[in-house]
Amino acid sequence: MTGFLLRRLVSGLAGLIVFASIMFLVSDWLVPGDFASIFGSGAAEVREALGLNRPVWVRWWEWMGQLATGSLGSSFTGAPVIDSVMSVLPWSVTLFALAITVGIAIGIPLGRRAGFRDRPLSPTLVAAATASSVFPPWLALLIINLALTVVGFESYDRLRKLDEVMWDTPPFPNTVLWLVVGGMLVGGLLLVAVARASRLGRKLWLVRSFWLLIPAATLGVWASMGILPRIVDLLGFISLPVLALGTTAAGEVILVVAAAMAGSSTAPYTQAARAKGLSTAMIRRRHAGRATLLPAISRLAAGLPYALGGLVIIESAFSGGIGVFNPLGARSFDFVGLSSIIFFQGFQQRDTPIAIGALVAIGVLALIVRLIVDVVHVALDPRVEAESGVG
Amino acid sequence: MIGWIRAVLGHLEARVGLGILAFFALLAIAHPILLATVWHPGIYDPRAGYDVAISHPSYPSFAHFLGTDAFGKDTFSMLLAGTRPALVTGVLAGVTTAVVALTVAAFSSAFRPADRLLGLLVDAALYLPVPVVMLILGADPQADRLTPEVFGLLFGLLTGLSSGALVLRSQALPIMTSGFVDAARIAGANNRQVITRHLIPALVPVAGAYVVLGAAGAVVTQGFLSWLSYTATYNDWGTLVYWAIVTRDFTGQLLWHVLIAAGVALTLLTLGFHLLSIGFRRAAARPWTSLPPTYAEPVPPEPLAVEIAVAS
Repeated sequence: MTGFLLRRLVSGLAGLIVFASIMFLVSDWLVPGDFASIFGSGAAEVREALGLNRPVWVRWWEWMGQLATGSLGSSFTGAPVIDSVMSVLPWSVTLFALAITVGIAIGIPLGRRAGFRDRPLSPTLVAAATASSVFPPWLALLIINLALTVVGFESYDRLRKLDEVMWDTPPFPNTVLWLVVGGMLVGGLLLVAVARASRLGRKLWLVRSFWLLIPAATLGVWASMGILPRIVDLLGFISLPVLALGTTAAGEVILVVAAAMAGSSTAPYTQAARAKGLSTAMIRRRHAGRATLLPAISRLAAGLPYALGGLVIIESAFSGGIGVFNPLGARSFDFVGLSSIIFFQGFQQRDTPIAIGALVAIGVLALIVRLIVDVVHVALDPRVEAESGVG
Repeated sequence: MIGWIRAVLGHLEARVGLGILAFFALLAIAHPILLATVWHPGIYDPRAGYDVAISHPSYPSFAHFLGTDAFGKDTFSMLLAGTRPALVTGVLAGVTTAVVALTVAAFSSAFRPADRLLGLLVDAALYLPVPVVMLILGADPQADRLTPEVFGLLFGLLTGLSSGALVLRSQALPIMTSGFVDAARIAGANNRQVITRHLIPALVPVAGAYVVLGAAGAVVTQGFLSWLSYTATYNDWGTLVYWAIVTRDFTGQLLWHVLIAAGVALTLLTLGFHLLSIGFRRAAARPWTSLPPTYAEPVPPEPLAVEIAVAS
């Protein structure tokens, strides 16, 4: 598995470098009125000081060198880009991780059900298609209003800011968010390892107990670090964007899983299982569900650009600056994530290095997600590893 | 061709989806006609109309089906004016996605050296959050680069290169190693014939499902970017949502009728594309799905000639 993952990592990094270079060159060519022109008559000096008058190839080569050392260069205001990216990255990553988890948790069972019955114009499928085609800023607005009417004004007000007393002392939100993401990642990979073991092992009761044990252990670790109340506070803050992105993600997952399940109710193995006298639920979960998991996973991986696009759109719909309707006075719900620094610092203040840095961060996020998908894929289907060894 | 159109339209989802698209196409056609005949341009023009008879913003009435916005423009007229850019973007994006993805899949399955290079390109394209890339391309609001046509083409190019090509490549490989392609090669078919006669026809339904998904993505993304006012269209559903929200910041009154109309229109059009995609996907499903369901009545055997003779 290590060799396979290393190969995927190297090819993924190569793709990432190609992607970053294209973005660097394209944005240099297209983003209007470079940063220096803000300074009017002093533009030439600013350009000189920032080295903007050198040819684009020279700057690209220099930027590549900085990328190789792990820094993302410095923004036009002199601050390192990596700092501003890291200050918002945990928010985006947590939102993405939670929303994908919600999407998968809702999407897989519903998608299996809809796909297995395979009725024309099934309500689940239509609902899923609607959920994934709803206009995100509109959805954000709807969710904020729903939160207002359901939980009331007071609770809503508490949802949109963190408890000041609690966050006076470290650990600060970013640290806690990284711990949350790390815990979810480790727990998830452990679950995959258990799933792999359950395919090999005989002691099923032992394996099954892990499905509850691992989340419990993760919670226990968080509790022993004393960050559980902070996590709850953060989850409250992040819940509305997660709800929005989770809805669209669940829609996508349902469509993909149902597509993979289509026709499985009449497949020969289902007929055999039915003849054995198994219940429909059992056939759906154990037979059809497992047989169609692999195509579903590879289709979901192909939907990654859509998911990242959805992340960017939902984030900006919830970051108050752009103009989401807000009942508590204009623009007070601020979810500051990667898209915020792309839009505001990157484009409105024309600080291109920051925008490109945030794009590279999104690329790295995509790379990690794809590696995780690869791990899951290999754990479920050893042929993937064997086949890639040939080619 | 006719065969698979019939196969796609045999599914209820595809018919409903196509019906929704046809409905919007009708709206797009109806708008200039309405402006030329029934509607007075001074009142109903989507960019400059103003009805002096009533105060604005107004809620739905007989003269204005969906009310008017704070500037006195008729919402229904603006909604109709936004139909054409949305449809053009969606359809162009879909077609471009299909052409790009099919080309990449055909090339990389037929010419192995090209596969490595195209694979790298597809890998790179998979990192794209397409809305941000479109934003970079349209970053200059003054330049008006992102007309619906340009937007559709670029969006199709990007999605075709990324997810479209990824899926179609993986679908193309088993076809290229299948028995009927081997048979065609033994019969003397060259690469071009294998691609045009065997590969592409087999890929078309799968491509169809992705095309239509690309179109749906394009409509939402275009709405998003025009919501941020980064596109070159002025009468646009995204813009309508934006103005409905922004008006509240100034007047304290949320224009629900504008907001709901534009949001529902955007969602409904995207839903139409999605449903059509489900129809394509069903039509493209594996051959063994055409087995009769287990609970089907057994077909009675044909009566023998002797039995017929006895009966008569």
